[in-house]
Amino acid sequence: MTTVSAPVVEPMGLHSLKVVSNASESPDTSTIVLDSPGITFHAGQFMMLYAFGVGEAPISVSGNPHSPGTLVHTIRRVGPVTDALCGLRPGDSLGVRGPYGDSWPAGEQGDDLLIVAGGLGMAPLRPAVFEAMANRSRYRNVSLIYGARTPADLLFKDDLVGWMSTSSIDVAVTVDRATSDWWGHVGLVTNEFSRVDFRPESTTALVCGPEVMMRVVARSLRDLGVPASSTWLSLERNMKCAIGFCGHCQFGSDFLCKDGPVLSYDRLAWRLGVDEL
Amino acid sequence: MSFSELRNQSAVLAALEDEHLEFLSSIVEEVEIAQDSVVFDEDDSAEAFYIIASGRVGLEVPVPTGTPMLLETLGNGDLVGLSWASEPYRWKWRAKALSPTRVYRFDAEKVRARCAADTSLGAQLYLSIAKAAMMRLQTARVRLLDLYPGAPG
Repeated sequence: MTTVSAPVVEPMGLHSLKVVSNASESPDTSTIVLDSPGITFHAGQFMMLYAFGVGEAPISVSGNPHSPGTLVHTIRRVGPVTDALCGLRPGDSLGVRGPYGDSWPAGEQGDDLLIVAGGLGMAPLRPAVFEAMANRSRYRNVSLIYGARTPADLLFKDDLVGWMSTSSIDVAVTVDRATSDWWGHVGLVTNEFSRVDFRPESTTALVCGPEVMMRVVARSLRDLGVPASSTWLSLERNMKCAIGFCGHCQFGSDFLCKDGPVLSYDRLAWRLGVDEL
Repeated sequence: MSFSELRNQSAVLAALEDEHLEFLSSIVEEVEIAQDSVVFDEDDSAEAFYIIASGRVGLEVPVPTGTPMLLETLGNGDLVGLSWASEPYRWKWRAKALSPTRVYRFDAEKVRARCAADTSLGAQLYLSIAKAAMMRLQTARVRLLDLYPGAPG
C-alpha cells in the first residue's frame, strides 16, 4: 500500500488567492475557503499559507478533493501567523504554495476503513472521509471515530450530523468533558473501537491528532490485530520550505514535508517513543 | 439481544467458560431502565453489576451547584459497576441511563459467594474484571493529559 503525491509544478511558486469565506468552527478555530482555480490536491496533503507581512504556516487542506476550484483550510490560532490567517475576511488575499506531502492511502479493495481523529486532527482527515464516501464501494465498512475536548470543540458539526444520517459510514463521537445533556459518548477514542465494525486483519486505519493520542491509538489497534503497516498517522513538525531542503521538519530519517506527513506506524513506532526527537 | 448473544458483545462474558456462564445465566435478571433513571448512586451499597444489552449509561459526578459532570459513557456489551467486586462494596460514582436502556443485572452477593466457593470461576471472573478496570484506568490516565488543545492542523 502506498501514498501518492500530487505533483507540484513549481515547488516554490506562490499563488495569490482570495478568501471567499471565513467561518468560526470553535472558539479558537476558523475555516477559510479560498478561490483556487486550477489547484488540485489529494486527501492528507498540506499547503503553505502566507499571511502577507506576517509569515507562512503549513496548514492541511480540510476540503473535498472532489470539489475543484476552492481550497478549504481549518486553522487554529496558536501564534501571529495563524492569528492573521484566522482574521482574514472575504475578499482579502493571501499567498499559497503547494500542495505538498503524501496523501492518505486508499487501502485495499474490500478492506474496512477506520478513520480516527482527535481534536484538530479532524481537519486533515475530513478530505479522507469525503474520498471514502466518493469511493464507498471500495470498502466493506467505513467508520469514523472522532474525539475532542468538549462538545464545543468539535469541528465540522454539520458534516458530522450529515454523516450520522447515512448508513454509508459509522460515526462515533466522544469527548473528554461533558454534562449529561451531551448526546455522544464521553471517554477516550479507543473506547469506541468496540462500537464500530471493523475486521482488524483487513483494516486500513487513518489516524490524526496529538502525537500521544496517535501513539495510544496505534498501539491499541496493533493489540487488536491491525497490522502496523496498515495504520497510517499524519505527523507535523516545523515545516518551512515544504520541499525537503531546509531540514526543519526532520523526524529521524524522514523529512515530514516530503516523506510524510502521512507515514505508516511500522515506520514510526520506535521514533514516537523517543524524547525530543 | 439475548443473554447468549451478549457473550459475543461483552468482553467480561466472553472470557468465561460455559459452566460459569451457566451459573451467571441462572441468576441473571433482565431489566429495562427508563432514560434519566439512576441505575445506582454514589456511596450506595454495591449490590449488583450490570452488562448493557442496549442503550447508554453514563457514569457521573453530582455537582451541587450545577449539572452533573459526565465521567464516561458505556454502551452495548459494557460492564457497569466495578465496586461490587471489592470491599467496602460501595459505589463511587452515579450511573444513569442516558437513553432507554436494557441491562442484564447480576446479584453481587450471589456472585461473590459463588466465586469464593468456586475458585475457577473466581479467578476467571476477577481476571476479566481486572482487565476492564485496567483499560478504564489507562484511558483515564490518557485523558488526564488533556491532549486535544495541542492537536496538529
